[in-house]
Amino acid sequence: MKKTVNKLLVWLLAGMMCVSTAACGGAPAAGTSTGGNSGNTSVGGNTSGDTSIDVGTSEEEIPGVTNPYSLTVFNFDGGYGHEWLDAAISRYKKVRAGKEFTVDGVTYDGVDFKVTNDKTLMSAMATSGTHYDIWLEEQVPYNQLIRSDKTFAKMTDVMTEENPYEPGVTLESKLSAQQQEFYKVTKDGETDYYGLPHYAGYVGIVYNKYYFDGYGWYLKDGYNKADLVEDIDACFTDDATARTAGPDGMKGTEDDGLPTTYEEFYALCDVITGTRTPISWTGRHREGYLSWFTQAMMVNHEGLEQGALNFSFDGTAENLVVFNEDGSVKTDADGNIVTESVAIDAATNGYELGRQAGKYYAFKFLETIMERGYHTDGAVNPTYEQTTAQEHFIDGSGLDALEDMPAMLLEGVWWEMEAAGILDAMQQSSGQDYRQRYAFMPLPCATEAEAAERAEKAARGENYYTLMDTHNTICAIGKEIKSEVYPIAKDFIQFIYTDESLAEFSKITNTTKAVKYTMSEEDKAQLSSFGRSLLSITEKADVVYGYAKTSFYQQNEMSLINYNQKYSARYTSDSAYVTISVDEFRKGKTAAEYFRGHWIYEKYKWDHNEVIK
Amino acid sequence: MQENEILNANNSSEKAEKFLVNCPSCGVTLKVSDKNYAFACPNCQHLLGIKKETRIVEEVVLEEQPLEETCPVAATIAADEAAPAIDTPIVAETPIVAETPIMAETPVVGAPVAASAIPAKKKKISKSNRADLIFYCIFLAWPVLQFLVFYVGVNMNSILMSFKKITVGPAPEFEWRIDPFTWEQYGKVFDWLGGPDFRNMIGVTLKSFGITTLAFPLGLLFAYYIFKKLPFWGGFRVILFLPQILSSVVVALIYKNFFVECVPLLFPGTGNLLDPVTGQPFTLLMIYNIWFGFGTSVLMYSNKMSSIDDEIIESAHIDGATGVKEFWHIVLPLTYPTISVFLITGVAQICVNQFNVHQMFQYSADPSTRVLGYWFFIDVAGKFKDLQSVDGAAELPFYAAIGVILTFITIPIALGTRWALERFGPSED
Repeated sequence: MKKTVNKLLVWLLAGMMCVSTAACGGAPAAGTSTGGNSGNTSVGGNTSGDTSIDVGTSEEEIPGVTNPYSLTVFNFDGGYGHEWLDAAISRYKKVRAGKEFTVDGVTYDGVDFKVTNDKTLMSAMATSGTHYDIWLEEQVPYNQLIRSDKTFAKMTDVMTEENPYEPGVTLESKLSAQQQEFYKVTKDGETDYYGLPHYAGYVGIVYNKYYFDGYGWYLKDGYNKADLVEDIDACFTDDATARTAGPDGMKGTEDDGLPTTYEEFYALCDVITGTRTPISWTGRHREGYLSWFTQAMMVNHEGLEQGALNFSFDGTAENLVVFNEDGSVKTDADGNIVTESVAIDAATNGYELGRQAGKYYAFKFLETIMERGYHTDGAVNPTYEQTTAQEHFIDGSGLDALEDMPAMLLEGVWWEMEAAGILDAMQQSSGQDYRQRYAFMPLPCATEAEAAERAEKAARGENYYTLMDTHNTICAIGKEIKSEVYPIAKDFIQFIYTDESLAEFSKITNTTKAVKYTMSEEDKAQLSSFGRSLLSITEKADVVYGYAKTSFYQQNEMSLINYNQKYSARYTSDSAYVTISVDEFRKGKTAAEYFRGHWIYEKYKWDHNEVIK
Repeated sequence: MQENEILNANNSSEKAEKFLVNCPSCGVTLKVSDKNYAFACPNCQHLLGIKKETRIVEEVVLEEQPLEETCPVAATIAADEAAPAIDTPIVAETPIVAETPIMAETPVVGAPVAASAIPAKKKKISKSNRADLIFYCIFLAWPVLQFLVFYVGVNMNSILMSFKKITVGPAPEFEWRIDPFTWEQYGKVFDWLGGPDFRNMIGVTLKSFGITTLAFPLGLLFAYYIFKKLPFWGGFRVILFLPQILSSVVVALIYKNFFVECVPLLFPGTGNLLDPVTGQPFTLLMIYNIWFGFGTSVLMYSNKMSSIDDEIIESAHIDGATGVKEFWHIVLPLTYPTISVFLITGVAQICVNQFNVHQMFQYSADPSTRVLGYWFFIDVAGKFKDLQSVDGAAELPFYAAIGVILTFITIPIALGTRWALERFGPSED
């Protein structure tokens, strides 16, 4: 009897150990995480109802290839996944089939791939000593890795020679001038490329277009401003022809009826409240996500040149908020904040960028959301994962009430790949194409003047959005690659950077690469609604990257590209710092107080040599 | 009485030889005679017996060794006038009656004899011993190498790094110039030590350490409860050891979700207790640390308690000591060395102990929960992610210097704690 009881207890304990599986992630994304996928994957989507794209499998054998060479690839398998890589590999293997080459005296008739899909970041991989022929990574301290002679091989010829798969085009021509300057590094008297950009990591607001269309959460053209306070419902309409022109100032475009200013955004939140909860984000990772979002809001206001100052610390800051003697934000008679221009010298006054007006407005935006309760409970819940936030955004059935379901989600553009499992499941259960329900919202402007300026730019055909790429990604060749294998790696990189491959990447991930490329209308039609809206915005946007070619950036690269504690504050020079997890706003601090605290936090770093000057 | 009868019986059967031996505990010289009893040292109360054996004075090769190898001399054999002259001093083979006889279970050989009393003979290592030695060396080579590389090497590198400084040359090369020796980082560290962040963090750290240390009597009581096999002791053992068996990430996740999701349902109105604004995150963090810390400490304490001789417990019972008295006078003193180890290592690790803050709050820890160890983790590991060389990140020498300074602060505190515990704590004897 005792023996039986003991046995039962052992089984019970063993079963409890399975609780450890709770540490595993949420619904699996399409494909596997060990390279290759098991078959066709339902990704992307198109308006005709055909929701699957045949991505092939990177493990399929190519007829006629008897002795392929294995190229090793490390792919950061984060939100963007690896399905796009599997598809590219599948096509490339067919292209390379039968083309012989020799490595170490052995003749190969094709190329196979050994892909490591992992979430280890570049800086950790660099010190691991593990060699890969090709690296696809993010959050890369590019200059530091090259300087320490780790990991990346020179690849100038890859960038500057004509792409055999795209005649007349070089990879270098797909980079912006800023990217070309950054990715070329001078070392030992020689200037070379050591990598090129991979995907673009933007953060913003995803909205549920299905609900917006259904409930008519679009601003009505000609609405009365007084009604924003007195009769909010009168300001919104479900009539597609009666909407405002939207952020681009042009009627008949996709952004019609979307909020152009903060004020309109708050009104949108008011009209959503009661039916749904306006906005949500991950409470567990709010420090990182809100830092990214603040940066995005900041560049949205400041623009390309002023936004880029936050990395170069070299130039004139033109929108620095002036403080009164008591530390409060100075305003004019109309209530607008007063700004000034200051020449920035990294060594002496780089901290002054802490009072950029864009940051003030970003804090103001978050303060209002917290103050008015526009957010879900999960946004302040330290256990609320981003996958749970996505799940509740897509499928509110796990919530206590439908009113708790968010209508908007503060997320990165990779969210659809992360939520692929939930989207597929909802699609299967409902029979509806869930990938046509969401869209990327242009960030609203802080003031009407700014919104008007944006509309004017749009009318002139200029770029009128400014986005922040927060991810510092890279595609590079491994330093230890054999000289005979280098041409194969070069060939593969040139292959995956053709417009066709880049378009395929976008079709699968519904995101964009951080290089210039065009997609045909047929390709765009295969994107999800979110992908199309994102592409629509990026096509008209300047992008601020986490790059610079100044001494200050070189010495502080890791700190500058890292977003933890980036928007912290300290209220006096003698108080401990606090982080941008909006708990401060919930504790009663105002945006103005936090903004000044952020400036003090930055000043403290300069005064106490916490930055390397 | 009974003992005396036995003594007399033995005494009458043969003439007792007198010997001088050293107490193996305190070293005091004792006059003993050879009989079948152990005795107690009148100086330190150490129980010992004496075994009379033949000493090997010269090692021989394996084949020539006698079948029974006797142990080398460990007891002082300095003959007095009554003692027989000894050419090769020996340890007695049979237990010898002391002047105050006390029964001992196993005979114990005493301390080494003075060199002048024993002719020294050169030891040669036998072939089998050489083989054993080689095996031990090979067996230990890998852990020693790991220690040298990952402890000594890493710490030496950190110390050297703390004296370095990076400056960047002009464009376009931006060549890094490394100043191999400068005190600049230490200047920055002293500035940081005087700053508000360190003040806040050291305050939270000391508070956290104090609370978790004050809870150690609970661990001791739990261990005693398990040791005494009181009702449901097995269940307690499982509950206390469970956090150690499961992944700490899983345990933290379960714990957080319990207080965030379950408690508000069970007790409406409590809300999210981990909320930094409306909840009690620090309190819950401390409860978690105390509960999580029970596993290792209870295991060690209960093991130590299990090693206490049953005879001592029984003799305590005979003397009327049970329950609290038994715990206070017998169990606690004998467990004290283990307790000391935990307290001393806790003090030594105070600056790097995260107190599970990152598992609970990731990068969003409120200042009220931000301890030094957590800050080290998010600021260094979070930002630099294994860029552990000067070539990797120019910002690292500053953190290396912090580590050196805090080490110099922590070492004397840890040594002082050890001295205080040894000085003022109960003696195992």
